[in-house]
Amino acid sequence: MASPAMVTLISSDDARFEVTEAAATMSQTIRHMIEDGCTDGGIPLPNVPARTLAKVLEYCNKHAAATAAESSAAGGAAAGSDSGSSSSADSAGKDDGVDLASFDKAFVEVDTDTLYDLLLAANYLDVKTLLDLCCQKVADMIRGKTPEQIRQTFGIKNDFSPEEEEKIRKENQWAFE
Amino acid sequence: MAGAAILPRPRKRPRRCKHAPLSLPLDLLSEVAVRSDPVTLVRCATTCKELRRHAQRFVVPSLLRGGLVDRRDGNLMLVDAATAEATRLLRAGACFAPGADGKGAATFCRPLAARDGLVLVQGMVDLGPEEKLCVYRPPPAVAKPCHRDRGSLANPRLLVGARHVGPSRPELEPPDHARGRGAAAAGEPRRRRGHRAVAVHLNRTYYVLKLHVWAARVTFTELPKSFHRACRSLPRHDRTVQILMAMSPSGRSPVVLVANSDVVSAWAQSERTGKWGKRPEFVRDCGVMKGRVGSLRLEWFAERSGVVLVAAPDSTTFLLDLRSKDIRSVTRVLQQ
Repeated sequence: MASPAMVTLISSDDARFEVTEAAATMSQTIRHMIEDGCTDGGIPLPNVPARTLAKVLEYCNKHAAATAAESSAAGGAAAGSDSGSSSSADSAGKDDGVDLASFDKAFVEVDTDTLYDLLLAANYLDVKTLLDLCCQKVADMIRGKTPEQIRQTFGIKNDFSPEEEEKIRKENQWAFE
Repeated sequence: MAGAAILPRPRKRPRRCKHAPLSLPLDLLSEVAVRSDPVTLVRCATTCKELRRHAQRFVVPSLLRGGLVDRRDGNLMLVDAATAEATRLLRAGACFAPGADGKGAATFCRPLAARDGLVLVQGMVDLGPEEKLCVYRPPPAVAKPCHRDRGSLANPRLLVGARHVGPSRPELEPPDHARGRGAAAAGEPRRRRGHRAVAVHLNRTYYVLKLHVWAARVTFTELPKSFHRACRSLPRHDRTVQILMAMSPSGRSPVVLVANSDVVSAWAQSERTGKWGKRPEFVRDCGVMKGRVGSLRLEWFAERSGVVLVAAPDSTTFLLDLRSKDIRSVTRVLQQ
């Protein structure tokens, strides 16, 4: 019983990914689709390209496997869906929190474009922990930057007049010292 | 498959400055901004108008935590970022409305609670028996949270004050400039609920003080006798970490929690009648003290998740979920 149910995800460029339901439902967006029974013939994810989806699924597989291993270790048995994850095969099974944390850390050690893609995908797919992880990573990148540098980093257009900007700076002098 | 573009180096490089073909949507940028430190958050909020609008939803409570300066000599200082050209410090005592004799400045001010950009400050008058309460709203340092009523921002400092003398019920003391509806609107970030609640202890009686922000009005409700019994043995100076105000899972009525030794009890106010339950709504025993001296501490209430952080002297930490009323050790939660 509770054999790992599989779902097929289809990226924007028509690549198909087969993953366990446990991994897929880390995404609230996919969870809702599954709950609504829209899984026949695969779940299309028109906003996520294959390259990003592969990366997101790597994260979901790892975390879902860790959760399953944890609950089966805690519950004794019958938690199921422990090994046979998917292509990436986390058959090691045993992951403690430290391992997962270092995985997370290494996971976002990517170039900015990839990180932004991941962030957008995590937001669209609504994978809360991944969104947190990516946001935190980007936040660490901009820490201590000046507003101008932040604008450059994110390609933000400054729509304040020089007077307005000066006024805001004065109001918040402490943040610019 | 296509995973080749993963580079091992995360170094921030000032690439993609010009056209930035893949810039992030602003709501995500604001998610990013709130995860940085207050300084970076404020800087993010000065990059463009839209982000400034987004950031103001978060910025007041975040700044608040860095915005109280305790001088340790009884003069609580509050950061006042809006009035002058530059930031200055304001003595908390100066927030209080002057008394009848004209000299109202309270001393030995201490913050009792802070929530959603409002700080409840308690002060004493001339070291006498009189205790004063006032709600302080730090002027919005980054953005004005209320666009409906710009005029009200002229004097947003004190929304309402309360005074307590002797054994009678606390008496309310709305200062002149808080009577108008403007002052009421000034403090309100965009939220559905119109009140903030805090438990206060005045002359051996525990009250829940509810600030109705829109109406600039405060109501006091005395807590039930069973609550007083539960609090009787609390150490005098340490009550603040053993009594915690929270919200019911529905988010509409306050819940007050007491930690005494090994036991956490919760009293709830009825949503329909507004009365406090005579008996505790639930009691949970953590079973960590094992007869030792000391008590659990109630550290924090997370409003969105409805979870209370409870700490034991042996640094075990528990999460109390107000929805399921389950209490679980954090070490176990972290391993999940």
